[in-house]
Amino acid sequence: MEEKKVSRRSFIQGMALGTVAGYFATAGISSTVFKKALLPKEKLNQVEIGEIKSLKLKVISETSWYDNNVFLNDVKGAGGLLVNQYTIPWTTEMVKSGYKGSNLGGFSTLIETEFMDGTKKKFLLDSGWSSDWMDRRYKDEGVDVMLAKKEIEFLVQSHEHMDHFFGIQSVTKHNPNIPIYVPKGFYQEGFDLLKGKAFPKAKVKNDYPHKGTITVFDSSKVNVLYPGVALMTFDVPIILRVFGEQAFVFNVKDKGIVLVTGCCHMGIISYMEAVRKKVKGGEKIYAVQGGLHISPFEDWDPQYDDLILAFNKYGVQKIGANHCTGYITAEKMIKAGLPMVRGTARNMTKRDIYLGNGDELLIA
Amino acid sequence: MEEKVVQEKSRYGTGVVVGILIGIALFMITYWLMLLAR
Repeated sequence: MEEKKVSRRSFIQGMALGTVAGYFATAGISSTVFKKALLPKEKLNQVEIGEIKSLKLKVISETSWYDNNVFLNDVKGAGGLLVNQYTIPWTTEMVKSGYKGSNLGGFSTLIETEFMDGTKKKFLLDSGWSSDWMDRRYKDEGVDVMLAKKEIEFLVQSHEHMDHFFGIQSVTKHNPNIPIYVPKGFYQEGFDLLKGKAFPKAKVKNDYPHKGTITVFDSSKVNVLYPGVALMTFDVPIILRVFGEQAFVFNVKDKGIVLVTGCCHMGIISYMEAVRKKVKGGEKIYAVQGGLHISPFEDWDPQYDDLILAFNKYGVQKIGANHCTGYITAEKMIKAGLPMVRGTARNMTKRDIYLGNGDELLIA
Repeated sequence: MEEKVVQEKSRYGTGVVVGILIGIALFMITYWLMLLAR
């Protein structure tokens, strides 16, 4: 007598294999082929910042110091990167490549915007380091006269670092009432320096106390100053006991978003991503100008190769990077085909590989 | 006495098909739970 029976064992074996295969196959297909369809769409909360007609960026000074080794020895001798910058005895004499023997220079950019109605306004980004050097550069470029005539609307301090801020008296001597915008995170020493306090150990003083308004911007929102002109603040801890950095976001008609930075300690990719998420039109970044803080001491880490690759994906049309971007970074960017804007190597800027002191970038 | 012959028919293929469907369903449940948890 023949009896037919279903093999339960074979069924269960097949089911076990099928379950595992089905689970992982679905996981693989959904995370690749159907990824865009299945992943929830990223919620963007973009702010409309308006437009400007054109933007002129004049590099007053991008040479924050002249000798990397002297700078690093100053920091090392004081105790390292966590030391308060107001307590470091910075070298101001016998530096061969320095300005009048001082290693101190400074960073400052003059920004001129043309609005859609044809009116123009000027802003100053950062106030440099050495007053001697900044006095000379402000005189060379007519910034001293602009300040005295109150043609410069306000001063934006990108962050509290000495090379962006310790030269403040070169600004306040011409206009002590200039409105100043600082990022949240400015320390009490910074406010005291604005008020006229001296820090003899760090060889910084302000003989022309600031009397105007000081506005502190935080990272809670995109701060629109004028149509087409905004500031974004980042909560970022920075070496030498500094916290917080802010940078400009401009929207130039028919071009796109232009980012102007001091040092970009928040990271240029993070900055571009933040702009993409928070600013309408932020997907199209037309230009980036200022320090990008990649290889400021001319050292190179393989991770920066990934940064160059990532940068390429944003389709930026003009890169006016300088200052703490580093020459090595500039060389690698040029080699990677990125559109670096070259300079003229004048006024103590060492190389023409990027925008130097006195060079200009016009976006119109 | 008659001899009883039991023939076992394999249902391995059927098991695999059922298993794949169960696997797909299991993944969709875990994905949905993950989205809920976000």
